[in-house]
Amino acid sequence: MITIEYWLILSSLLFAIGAYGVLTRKNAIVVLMSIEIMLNAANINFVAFSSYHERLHGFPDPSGQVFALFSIAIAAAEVAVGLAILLSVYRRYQTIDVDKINILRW
Amino acid sequence: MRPGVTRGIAILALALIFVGVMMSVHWPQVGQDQQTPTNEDVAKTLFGEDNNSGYGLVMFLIGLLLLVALLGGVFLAKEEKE
Amino acid sequence: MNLLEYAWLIPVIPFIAFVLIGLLPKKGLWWEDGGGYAIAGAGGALILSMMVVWQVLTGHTLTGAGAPSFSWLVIGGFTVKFGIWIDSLTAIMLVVVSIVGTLVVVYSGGYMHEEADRRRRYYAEIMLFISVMYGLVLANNYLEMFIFWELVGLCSYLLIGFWYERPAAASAAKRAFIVTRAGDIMFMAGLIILFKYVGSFDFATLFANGASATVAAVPPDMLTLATALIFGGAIGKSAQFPLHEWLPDAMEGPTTVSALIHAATMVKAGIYLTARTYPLLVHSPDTLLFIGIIGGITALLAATVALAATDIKRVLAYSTISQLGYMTLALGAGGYLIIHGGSSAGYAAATFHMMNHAFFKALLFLCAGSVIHAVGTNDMRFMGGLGKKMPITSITMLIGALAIAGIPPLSGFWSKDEVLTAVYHAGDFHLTFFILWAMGVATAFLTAFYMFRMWFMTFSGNPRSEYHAHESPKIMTVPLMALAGLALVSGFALFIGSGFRSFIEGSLGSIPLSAEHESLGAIAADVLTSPFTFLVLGLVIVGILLAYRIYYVPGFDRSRFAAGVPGKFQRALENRWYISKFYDDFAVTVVYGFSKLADVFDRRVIDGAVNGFAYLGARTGNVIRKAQSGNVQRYASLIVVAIVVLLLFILFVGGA
Repeated sequence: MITIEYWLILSSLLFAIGAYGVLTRKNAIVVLMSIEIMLNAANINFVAFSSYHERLHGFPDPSGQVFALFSIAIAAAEVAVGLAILLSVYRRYQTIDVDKINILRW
Repeated sequence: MRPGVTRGIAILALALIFVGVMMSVHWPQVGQDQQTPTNEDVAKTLFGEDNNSGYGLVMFLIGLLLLVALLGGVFLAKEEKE
Repeated sequence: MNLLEYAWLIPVIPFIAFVLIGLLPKKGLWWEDGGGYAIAGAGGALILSMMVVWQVLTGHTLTGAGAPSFSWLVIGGFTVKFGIWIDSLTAIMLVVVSIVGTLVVVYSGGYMHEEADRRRRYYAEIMLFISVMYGLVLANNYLEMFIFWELVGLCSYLLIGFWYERPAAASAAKRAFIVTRAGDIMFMAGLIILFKYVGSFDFATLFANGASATVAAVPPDMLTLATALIFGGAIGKSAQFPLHEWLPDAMEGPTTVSALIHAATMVKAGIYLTARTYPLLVHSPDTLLFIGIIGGITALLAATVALAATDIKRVLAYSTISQLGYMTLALGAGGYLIIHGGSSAGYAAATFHMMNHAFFKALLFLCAGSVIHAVGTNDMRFMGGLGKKMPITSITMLIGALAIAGIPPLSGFWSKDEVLTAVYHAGDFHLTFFILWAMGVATAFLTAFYMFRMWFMTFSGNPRSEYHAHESPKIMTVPLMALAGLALVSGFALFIGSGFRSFIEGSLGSIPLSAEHESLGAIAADVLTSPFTFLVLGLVIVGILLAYRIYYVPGFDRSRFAAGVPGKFQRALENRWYISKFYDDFAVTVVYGFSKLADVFDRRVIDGAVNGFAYLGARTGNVIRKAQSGNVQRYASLIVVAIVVLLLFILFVGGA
C-alpha cells in the first residue's frame, strides 16, 4: 500500500490550486468554485487520516470520515448562500467582475 | 507585473512549504495491516452504538442549517416585483 | 537712667501717629484731618531726639556690644536682630530728621489746606515716612538698615504719587521706585558678599577694632567689590550719576514732600550709609576713588543742567543732586585723608555739609512751595516781581540762596569750604582729586549763578504774567523763618564745644586717626586766610553778579545765546544731557527686542511644533488610506503572504 504522504500531498496541491483560483480569477462564480476545491482538499485530508489511522496509531478511528460528511453538508449550505448573494450583487451592479465591486474602499 | 504573478508565487511557496513539511515528517508505523473503517463502522460512529453516543443530533442540526440556508438563498435570489 | 536705651521710642512715636491717623474715624481726626496728630507725633519724636542728642553731646554713646537688640528672626544658626546704635553720626542725622521733619509737618498744615479729604492720606504717609527714617538712622545692623531703606523708598513712592490721578505723577513715582531699586539690588549684593565671608550684618561685629576681623575674613578684591556695591545703593538713593534722573521727576509730588524727602532726609540716607561704612571703606582705596569720581561728576553735571531749568522745583532738585555730589566727593576724598594721614577732615566736611544742606535746602523748597502756593504755577518764566508782595518768603529765600552759594558767614560758606579743602588735600595722595577739586570749584561758581538766576527771576523785576499773589499764612512762614535762622547759625557748629570735627570723629570708632587736632582758632584762621577760600569766594561773587546782570537788569538780550554753539549747548542742558532719553530708548529697545524674540519663538517654534504634528498625522493618514482598495482578492492574498512568512519563520528561525 502507498504511504499516507501521497494523499497529503494531493490535498496540499489541491488546496494550493484552489487558493490560486480564489486569489486570481476575475469571475466571482469561478472564485466560488475555487473555494469548493479548497473545501474538498480539506475533506480529502480528513478521510486520509481516518483511513490510515490504524497504521499510524494502532486502532481504527472512523471519526474523520464522519467529520468529512459534516463538512460536505456545510459546504453545500455555504455555496447556496454564496450564490444567492452573488445574484443580488449582479442585480445591483450588473457585473460579477470582482475587480469592479470595490465600493467598500477609502 | 500583473497581480496574478505575485500571488501565484505566493501560492507556489505555500504549496512547496506544505509538500516539504509533509515529506519530512516521520510518520509512525505501528499497525501491520491497514484496515480501513467500513461503512458499518462509520454508521456506528455516526449514529451511535448504545444510547447517548453518536452524532445523530449534530447531523440533524446540520441538515436543518442546510434547509435554512437554501430557503434564505431562495429568498435572497427572488426578483423584486415592480 | 540711660536715656539712650529708650531711643527706640523715637521711631515708635510717629508710627503711633500714623496708625491713629489711618484708623480713626473721621470725627476723631482732630484738626486738619490728622494734621494735629502729625504735629504731635513729629514733635514728640523731636523732643526725644533732642534729649538723645544732648546725651551724645555730653559724651554718651550706645554702640558696640552694649547696644540692646532683640532677636527678630532665627534661621538655623543665624539670628536676625533689631537694635539701636547711637553715636555722633546718628546724632547729626537725628538733629536733621527731627527738626526738618517737624517744621515741614507744621508747614504742611497750611500748604495742604485745600486738599480736604486727601490730607488724611498725606499725613499718614508723612508720619510713616518719618518713623521709618528714624528707624533707618538708628539701625545697628545692615539688614535692619536695609529693611528701613526699602520702607523709605516705599514711602517716597507713595508720596511722590500723592496726586495719583495725574499720569506724570504716577509715572514719576514708579520711576523713583524702580531706579532706586536698581541701587537697592546693588546694596543687597554687597551685603551678601559681606555676609558670605564674615557671617554677620552687625556693625559691632563688622567694625570692631578698625574692622580688622572683616578685613581678615574678606579677600581684598571682594572687599572692594562689596563696598562698591554698597555704595551702589547710595548712588540710587542719593541720586548720583548715573541713577540721578528720578529726583527731578520726583518733583511731581507736593512741595512739602520734596522738601522733606528729596532734600533733607531720604536722599541723605545714601550719604549716611557711606559714612557708616567708613571703617570698611578705609581699607579699599579703589572704592574711595570711585566714590569721589562719581561725586565730582554728579556735582558738575547737575549744576550744568540747573542752568537751563525753568521750573523752580527742578532747579532745586538739580541743586540737591549737585550738593549731594559734593558730599559724596568729600567722603571719597576723606577716606584718602584717613588712610594717608589719619585726618578726619573729609569725613567731617561731608557730614557737616550734610547737616547744613538739609537746613538750607529744606528752606529753599519750602519757600518755593510758598511761591507756588501763591502764584499757582511752577514755571519761573511766569513769575517775577514777587519780592514786593511776599516779603517774608523773599527774604528767607534770599538767605537760603546766599547760604547755598557760600557767602560768609552763612553755613554754606563754612561747609563748602571744608569740602573743597579736603578734596584739595586728598589730591596730594591721588592726582585725580585735583581734577575733582577743579570740578568742585566750577560747580560752586555755577551754583551761585543758577541760584541767583532763580531768585532774580522769581522775585525781582516786573511780573511776567497775571497772578494774584499774597504772602502765605503764618503757619507757613514761621517754619521758613526758623529754617532761615538755622541756615544762618548752623555754620558755627564748627566751633561749638571742642569743634564739630572732633565731635564727629567719635563715630569713626576705632579707625586709627592722628592725635593732632587743630585748635578751633586755627581752623577758623585756615579757612579765612587760605587762598583757595578767596578763589572760591571770588568765583561765587562773580557768579552772583553775572546772574544780576543777565536777569535783574532789564534789557539784556538773552536770545543771543539761543543760536549756534551756545544754542546747541542750551538745548542739551534743557534735555538734561539726553540721559533720560538714553535710558528710555535703551529700555525700550531691550524690552521690545526681547519681547519680539519671545513672540517669534512662541509662534514659530512652539506653534510650529504643534501644527507640525497635526500636519504629519494628516499626511500619513492620507498615504495609508490607499491600502483600503475594496478589492477582496487583494486582502486575501495578503493573508496568504502573511501565512507563508509565518511558516517560514517558524520553520527556519524556530518559534516556541
